[in-house]
Amino acid sequence: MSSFADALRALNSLKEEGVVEEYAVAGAMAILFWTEPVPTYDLDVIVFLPGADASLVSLDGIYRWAHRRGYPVDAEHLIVEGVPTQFLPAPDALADEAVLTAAVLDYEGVRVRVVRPELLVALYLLPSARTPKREARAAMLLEWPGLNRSELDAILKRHGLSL
Amino acid sequence: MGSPSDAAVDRPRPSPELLARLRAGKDQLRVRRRALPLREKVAQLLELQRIQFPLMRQQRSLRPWERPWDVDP
Repeated sequence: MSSFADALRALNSLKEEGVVEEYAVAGAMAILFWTEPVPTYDLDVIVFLPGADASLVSLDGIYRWAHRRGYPVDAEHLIVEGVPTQFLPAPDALADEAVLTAAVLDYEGVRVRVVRPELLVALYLLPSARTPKREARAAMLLEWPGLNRSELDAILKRHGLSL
Repeated sequence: MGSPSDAAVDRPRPSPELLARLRAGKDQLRVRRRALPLREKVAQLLELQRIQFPLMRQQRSLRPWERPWDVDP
């Protein structure tokens, strides 16, 4: 049976093989790294795809990589070492910042890039993606004593967001 | 089954101190959960998935990937 660490190793190889330029774990699994586990069934990964000049973004390279490794496709997810994973090309400047400033953490000896909590809150507050569940997750992070509130305020201001 | 008007019945209520202690207990639990090693947190997530999955399945139709992960922490 695969381990969660195997899935993270696969993310690193995605970058090492040049399939993506950079990545960062986001969503509920990123919350787990900072605070406490919340129920989730997938791993969200924001990626920078190579060929940034291209006007059309395609996940073909990631699907080919998955095919080479024998990872099945399940609806809109790739099953990476047993973990349903969604790859989201960074859609805007906030996501860019989330990937560029991601923290490099260690999970069972595997290096993993994780979106910082202040950026996670901001991503949850995007009007286009605001749902009660996402607001609850933002609230959970806002309660976390380790959150840098002044940094969060600066991020929200920079991206025109509010609590 | 009682009616909403039963809620007005005079019954023993917890003191503010007891409520505060219970809330503090919850806070302590969360502090301990936050401090767990990452591997333990992932193990808890996998357990949460196993507990939640049958309940979710009763409530709505699930998407194909919405099932407990077959992985070790």
